Amino acid sequence: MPQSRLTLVVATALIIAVSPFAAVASYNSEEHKLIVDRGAALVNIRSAVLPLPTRMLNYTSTQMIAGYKAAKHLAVGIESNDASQYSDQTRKVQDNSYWSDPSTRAGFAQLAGNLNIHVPLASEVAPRTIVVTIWDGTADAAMTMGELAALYGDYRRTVNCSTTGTTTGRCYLTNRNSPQYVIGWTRPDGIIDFAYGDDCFGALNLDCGWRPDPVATRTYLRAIGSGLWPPYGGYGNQVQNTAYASEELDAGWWGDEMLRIANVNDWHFSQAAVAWYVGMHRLALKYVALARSDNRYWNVALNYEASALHSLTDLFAFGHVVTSRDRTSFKIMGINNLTGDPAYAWMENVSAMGGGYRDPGTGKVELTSILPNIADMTNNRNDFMETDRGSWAFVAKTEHDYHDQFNNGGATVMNLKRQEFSIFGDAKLRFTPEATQRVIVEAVRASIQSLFDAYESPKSIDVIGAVGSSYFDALLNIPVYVKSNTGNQFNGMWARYAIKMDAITGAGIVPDTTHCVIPFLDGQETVPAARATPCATPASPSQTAIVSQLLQANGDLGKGDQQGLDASGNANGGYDVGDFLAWVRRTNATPSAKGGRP
Amino acid sequence: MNRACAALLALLAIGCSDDSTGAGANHGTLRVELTSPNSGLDGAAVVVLTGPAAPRSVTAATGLTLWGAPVTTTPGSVAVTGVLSTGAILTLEVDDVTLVSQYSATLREVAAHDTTVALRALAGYSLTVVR
Repeated sequence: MPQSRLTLVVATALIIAVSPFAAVASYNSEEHKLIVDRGAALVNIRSAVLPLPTRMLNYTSTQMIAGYKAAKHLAVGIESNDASQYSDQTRKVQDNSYWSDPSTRAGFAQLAGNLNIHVPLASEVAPRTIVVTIWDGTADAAMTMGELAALYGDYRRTVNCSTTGTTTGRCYLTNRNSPQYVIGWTRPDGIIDFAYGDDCFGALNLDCGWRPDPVATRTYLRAIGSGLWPPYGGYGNQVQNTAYASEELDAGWWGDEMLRIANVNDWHFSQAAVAWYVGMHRLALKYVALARSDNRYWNVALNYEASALHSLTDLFAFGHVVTSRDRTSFKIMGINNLTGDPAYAWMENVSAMGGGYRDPGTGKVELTSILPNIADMTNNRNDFMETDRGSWAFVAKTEHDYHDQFNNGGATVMNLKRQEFSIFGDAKLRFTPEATQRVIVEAVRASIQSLFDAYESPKSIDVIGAVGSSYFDALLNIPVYVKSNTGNQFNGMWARYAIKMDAITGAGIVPDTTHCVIPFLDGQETVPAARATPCATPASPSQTAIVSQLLQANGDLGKGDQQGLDASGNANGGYDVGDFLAWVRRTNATPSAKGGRP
Repeated sequence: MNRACAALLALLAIGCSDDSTGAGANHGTLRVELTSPNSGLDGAAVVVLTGPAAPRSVTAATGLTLWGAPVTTTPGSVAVTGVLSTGAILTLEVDDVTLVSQYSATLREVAAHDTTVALRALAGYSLTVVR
């Protein structure tokens, strides 16, 4: 029998203390999917001829919602948002076959998350989205950009695509193709089983009919990307994993993998998230350039972009804005002797492509505004790394607590366009104001759109991917300033990444100062005291600059303010007289000078 | 007073007048008139003015607001906001109105007056400079 199965209730006080649900995740998968697909729906793919089945695909709302319903049905046997419909007597349901005891947190713990999967309303889903080809271990399959953005980051660390030969453009979502040995038998390729869902009933526990039938890997991964939580242990697998490391074709393996990744997911947080987004987006641009002559590279570009979008959207969760995990993640990688792993080296290169610099001593990721020439590294398809928290569990738990505290509390923030909006975090997208959701959708749209704009651009990829390029305009939407937050610890403070993000985008609104910058906060640090007054108030753009930008080709108004005025005006992508008119009306401005010469 | 003295006084009078305005004998005003396919439906425009010299002053028609004045260069740009209808939208004070044919005005952008503030296509719009 496998040694690592979660079949025993071994819960010491220490384990309970340091083993919260360790997945310091961000938005839930269905939230990532929903918001990314909404953004993708608004993209104009221009003249690009995508390699089928990759394409812009129209859906009915019923078809789009069906993916979420299927995920929830497989997980808990219901397809609505009414958790009272759930019955633990329904057969062939994932969570009815993986036992749990909520009163002691023993057993498997994913049931609560699965009952909370939000099946969107027709009004919430986009009528179309980009679907992208992936390889699921057996064959090509197509997933939506939203599903891929949910999977990359939380369930798969790296993006691995073939860039040579007949398989060019094949992007792998699994570590291998070959059949795997599991619990005494060999499973065929491309099938996910629920073998460890052995909560059996009836005489002598012989009836295991609660276990779902095996499903195609693509089906299970699509369900995960639509919100399904795979089985994971109530103590964050601190006691044991569900499956052996090689048992990728078991549903429980994906829950194990989620927790392994969550232990070290620094690229979802603060400066490291910015570096990851910029790095992956630049690499996506590199493959767009190759797609100009071979459209199979679109698959590579869009898979890289999906990974970039995971971190981009995470930065709309307040816990991810203020909390850092780079120091702890690096230490965990160190104690597991994984800093030399090829997959980790690949990930570090992504960060470097985004201007990230990891201090080899502290492990902190600092941002620079110098972006190196774009170069990818060879990567192994198998990116498995056994990343146990070990002695860093207490620190990781504190980071988990900070993450939850600030995600739940939320904040009113401002982005580089000076748009103000409210943000929260996990499982709260449905409660997030529509105005905020539109900002997130616009970030996604702008990011994906820039790939298709780059496709038609005559400029070299190094020019397109240089500091100040408009191809980073998605970042103009990211929160950079905290107007106020629940708890008031960060009122009037700039995010740690704000000044570098300002430089990379060319926004021109963040003061070049270390004053009033959110301090580095991870599990070794304490939360700052509440502030009675805002630390700093951003200066508004001058009327002179707003007028001169309208009248002159090279005015004084920064890109951030131009895009902000456009977003508050006719939102046609550039600052113009319509945006100016909207500003006049909003502010009741009057001319500052008469018509005659002085 | 002989004729020479009278002529001198006249010149001095003109000179005194010129001292206060800097204008010549042909100093005066020109009008910039808009022809619009959306008369009464536009709310803002950017106008580029060109001429032999920058206008001494620019004023907006009644009900409109002028932005970006004074114009000190040629070409130079101003914006006007308000309900834009076919007819005069600007008045230019120039040194020599006889050079009216050398003055021109072009529309660079026009936006709808409604809440969309949408940018208009410029087909059908025109500006003319007249005395």
